[in-house]
Amino acid sequence: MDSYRNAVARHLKSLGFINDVIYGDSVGSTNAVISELSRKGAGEWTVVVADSQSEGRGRQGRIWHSPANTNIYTSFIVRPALSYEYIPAISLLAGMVVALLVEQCTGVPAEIRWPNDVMVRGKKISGILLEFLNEGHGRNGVVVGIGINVNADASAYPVELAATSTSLTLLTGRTFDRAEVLASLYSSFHTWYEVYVGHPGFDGIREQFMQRFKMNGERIRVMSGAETLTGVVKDVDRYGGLVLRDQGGRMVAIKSGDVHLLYGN
Amino acid sequence: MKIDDIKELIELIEGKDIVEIEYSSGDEKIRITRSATGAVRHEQKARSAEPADAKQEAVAAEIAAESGMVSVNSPFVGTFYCAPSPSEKPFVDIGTRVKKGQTIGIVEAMKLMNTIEADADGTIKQVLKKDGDPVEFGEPLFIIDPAG
Repeated sequence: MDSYRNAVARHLKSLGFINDVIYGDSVGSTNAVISELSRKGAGEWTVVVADSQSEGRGRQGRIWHSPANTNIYTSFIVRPALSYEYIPAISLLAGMVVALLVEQCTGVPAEIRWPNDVMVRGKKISGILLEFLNEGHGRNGVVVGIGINVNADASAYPVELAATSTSLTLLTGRTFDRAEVLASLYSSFHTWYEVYVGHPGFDGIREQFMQRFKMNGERIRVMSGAETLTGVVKDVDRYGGLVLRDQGGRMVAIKSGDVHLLYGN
Repeated sequence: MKIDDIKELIELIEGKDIVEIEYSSGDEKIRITRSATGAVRHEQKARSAEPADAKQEAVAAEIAAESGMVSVNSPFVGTFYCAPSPSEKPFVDIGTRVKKGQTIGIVEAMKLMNTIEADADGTIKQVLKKDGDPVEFGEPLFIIDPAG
């Protein structure tokens, strides 16, 4: 039987744009590996794939549960020739691509919670974290790290995560070939990334994103570090910012923070 | 002033390195400012003064430039973090000796984490932002004394 390592190499190298594939049975985090490789000069579309991560991390150092032989953990580097204001919304692009992939695999509609949480039937199916690398001499890199719950069943998660997490398998009852799903992810990301860079910016992906964005009209609280802001979601702006009407009636574009839904008044 | 005029003014500063613009037409005056969490806010009446913190930071950056110190600035609108996670110690404090390229902070925008690195070998003289503070494009975050 083809090992995951061999299948990953075969599938990804068949995609013409992939520069190099680095595979690890177990790594600290794929983002850390690709960041280090990038500093040493790794080219665009260098890809890291791991079977498991010992230190998979989300925003603010939160742990991303990364068991072996189950899910997708991958990171890659792109070097967009874009001005700075268009860089952060690559985060939203990644969420949209994962949402499309999940729908393609399961036939179940996916929803995007700003900025890039992909939810299916109210449960989280992926974790996405990006890092910006300023490498000097006008050379910038963006590391995109994506974890997708593929073949995890309920027993794969600690109790506290089982209630809020789902996977392709839990949604369909099927087992998926992770390397095939990975190849679909990269193929789709590359296509939409070209659209994003060519346009440039969020407006190029707006239609697909907004079809899966159900937050308009929702009352939310955004906690960003020391600051808390309450308002009603109105839109996503051209740089990917979440547009709120705050309690004073002002329109505010949010660039970061934890978003909490508020119910009732 | 019509709503379209206000929209046009907001579009003028969105995504650009402009913190505040003021526009007067006849008796009407509008001031649009970037503010917390990287937001663009607009007010129909003018504010009397900039926040004291912003002034202090601008002064600190000027002093840094004049005295040969190095100001490390934010590359994005976002949120500043002084540590890798809320439960961990800050990357640096005032007085910490740093090497060029060493991680000294993080600025986040939409789950894009930007590691802030020391621009020079030296000693951290000032930390201009607190953990969780909103930051603007180009805003000074740290002052490094290369001779320290």
